[in-house]
Amino acid sequence: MKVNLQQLNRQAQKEKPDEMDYFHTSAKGLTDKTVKEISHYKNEPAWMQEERFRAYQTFLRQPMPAWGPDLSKIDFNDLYYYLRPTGQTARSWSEVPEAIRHTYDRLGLPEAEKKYLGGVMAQYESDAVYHSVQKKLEKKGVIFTDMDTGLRRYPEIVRKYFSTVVPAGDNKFAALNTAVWSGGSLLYIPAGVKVEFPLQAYFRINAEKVGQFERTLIIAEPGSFVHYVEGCTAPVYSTGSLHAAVVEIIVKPGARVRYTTVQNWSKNVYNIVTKRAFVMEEGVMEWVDGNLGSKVTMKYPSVYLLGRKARGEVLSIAFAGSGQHQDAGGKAIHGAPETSSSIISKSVSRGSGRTSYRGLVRVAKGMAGCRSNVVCDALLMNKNSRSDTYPTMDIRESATRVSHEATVGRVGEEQLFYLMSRGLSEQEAMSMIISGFIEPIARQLPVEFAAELNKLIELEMGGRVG
Amino acid sequence: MKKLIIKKDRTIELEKVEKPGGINIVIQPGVKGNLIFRGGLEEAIVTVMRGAVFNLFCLMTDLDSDDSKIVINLIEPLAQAHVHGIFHGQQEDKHFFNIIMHHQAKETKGDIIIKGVYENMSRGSFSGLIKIDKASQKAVSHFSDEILLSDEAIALSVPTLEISANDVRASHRSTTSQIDEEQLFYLASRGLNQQQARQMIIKGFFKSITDKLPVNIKNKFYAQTAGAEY
Repeated sequence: MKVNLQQLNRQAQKEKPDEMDYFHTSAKGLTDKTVKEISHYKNEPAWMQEERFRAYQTFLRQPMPAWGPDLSKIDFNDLYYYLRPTGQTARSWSEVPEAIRHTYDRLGLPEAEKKYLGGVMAQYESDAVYHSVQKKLEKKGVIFTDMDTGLRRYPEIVRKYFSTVVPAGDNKFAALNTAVWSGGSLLYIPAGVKVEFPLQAYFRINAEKVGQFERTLIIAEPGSFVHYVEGCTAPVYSTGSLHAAVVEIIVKPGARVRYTTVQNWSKNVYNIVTKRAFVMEEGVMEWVDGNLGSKVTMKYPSVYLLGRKARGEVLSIAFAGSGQHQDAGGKAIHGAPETSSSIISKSVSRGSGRTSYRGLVRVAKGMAGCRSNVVCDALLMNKNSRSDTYPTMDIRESATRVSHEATVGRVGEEQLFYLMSRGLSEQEAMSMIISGFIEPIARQLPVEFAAELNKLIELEMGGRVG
Repeated sequence: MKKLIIKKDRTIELEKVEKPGGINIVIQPGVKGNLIFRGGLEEAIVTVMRGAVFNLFCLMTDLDSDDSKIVINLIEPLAQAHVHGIFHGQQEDKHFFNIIMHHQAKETKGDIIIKGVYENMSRGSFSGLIKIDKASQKAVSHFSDEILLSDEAIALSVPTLEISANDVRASHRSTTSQIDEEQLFYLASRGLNQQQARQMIIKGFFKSITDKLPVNIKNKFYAQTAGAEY
């Protein structure tokens, strides 16, 4: 059944978005009033409202990034900042409204849940509508909930960590997110608890011109482990939409967190995400990041290695078709001795697609014994494709070992010739070579994501499915 | 800006210029031009024409501070440029080196190899851009920088690729590390003191580049830097 997931996604994307009754829609545009309204409807504590107001002021002050992809088409006054499909968070699947259930059925989501995956939390528009945390998680003391509920039920946790990893002043889009955030996940793993199965959350934009501003906070107490999986699909609609999420992760001593994203937003979405993790002594943070959809993506998952022997890994795949610009990469900041990091990036540009790798490795003074390795490979499929690589290595400590390598090229003629001489069509051969090219990262993905990814490549290459 | 047109095969040595300024060099079709560069220039723009070969050797070993920008334009098919750089920073030296290899025609070739050693409180900053235009199919280009750091030295590497043609090969690599403790130990166990061992390792590190220098330049380089014993 899993192999049909991608096909269903494609179908869902082609069809019109389901018609829905929105319980509450804030007016288009962003003002003080919008921020106040959001906070009011969510019935938030005063400190969060203040946080939002402060962030809103920061947002107004901050300039747009002067580098990277063209963002001039984003009109902040032409977006909705808050939509909420139903009045309450549903507690079980049967309570989820019909229209939403229908869309998720088409995505094959319940199938995935029925199989072996953990607590599925589906986001429809701006709020979590369906939320099921397996009982054994609760027994272990794991908190896995949508962020709004999290704020209501665990205010002390949210207050302690919110905005500590990504402050609102970090960049314009982080400020915007802090001002109008809605949805996202709160995940708290108590000390020593290992969650054996991946926790999944599906996100989805449905209405036209909806801004999605998820806020995710993950806290892994000492010695714990969790694998969090996030994936998104969106139906086709006409005008540009903005997705500006913030993900904050705190990996305490000896803990390990793996965060997997596969993003397949429809090709008119601006996807600008700030993802950052603080990693303490002997902690391990792994980002696995797949960027397939969206018009423009700007996403540079970062690891701040703040304790001795902390380790950070970023695995990134980007696939840019015509009209897409995938500006992805990774950052590793070595702020403690004997820390190590690894960034592996693979990108494919097709048609007039454009991929960029943008990265930073910084080793602060006095942080002896750090190691970092960065590898980026890019494939260009057509003569209009473009690929850029912008890494920066800022090394202020001599007792380190930092290396970077990047290659850009095309699919080898001999490889194509070999496969075609074995009876494959050019398209089949091409998609096989690309699957092989991204395989080192694809095999790190949960199995149904890897299947989706291969299917997508076949579809994008115009080959047959199945 | 001073203009220099190279019409026949020759080697030009630019001594350290006291008054900084720019220079514009044109390598005529089919000509092989070698340039020995010792810093002190603000900007050098080199235009390489059809089938011409441009060899640039940057010997930046005795500079308190330097901020050089070199732009190489491969404007016609089959043009080639090879850049080799030796950088050695000591005390409080500060080097900024910015190079652009711009492929504008098909079947052009470029490679840039930089080796740097930074000691004491020195600082080296390297930015290298390989830019391949759409018209420049079948171009091959490579950038590499290898930096050895010791003491309180700082290195910044920013290798960049901007590739707009698909049938090309472009790559870059960059490594920053320190002098290998095992190599030092090996040499020390053969009776060399710390200073001698370091000098020998640095000499070996630079050898792949010094070997490519024209022989008279190589002799001169070794004579000038005898104190450092490359």
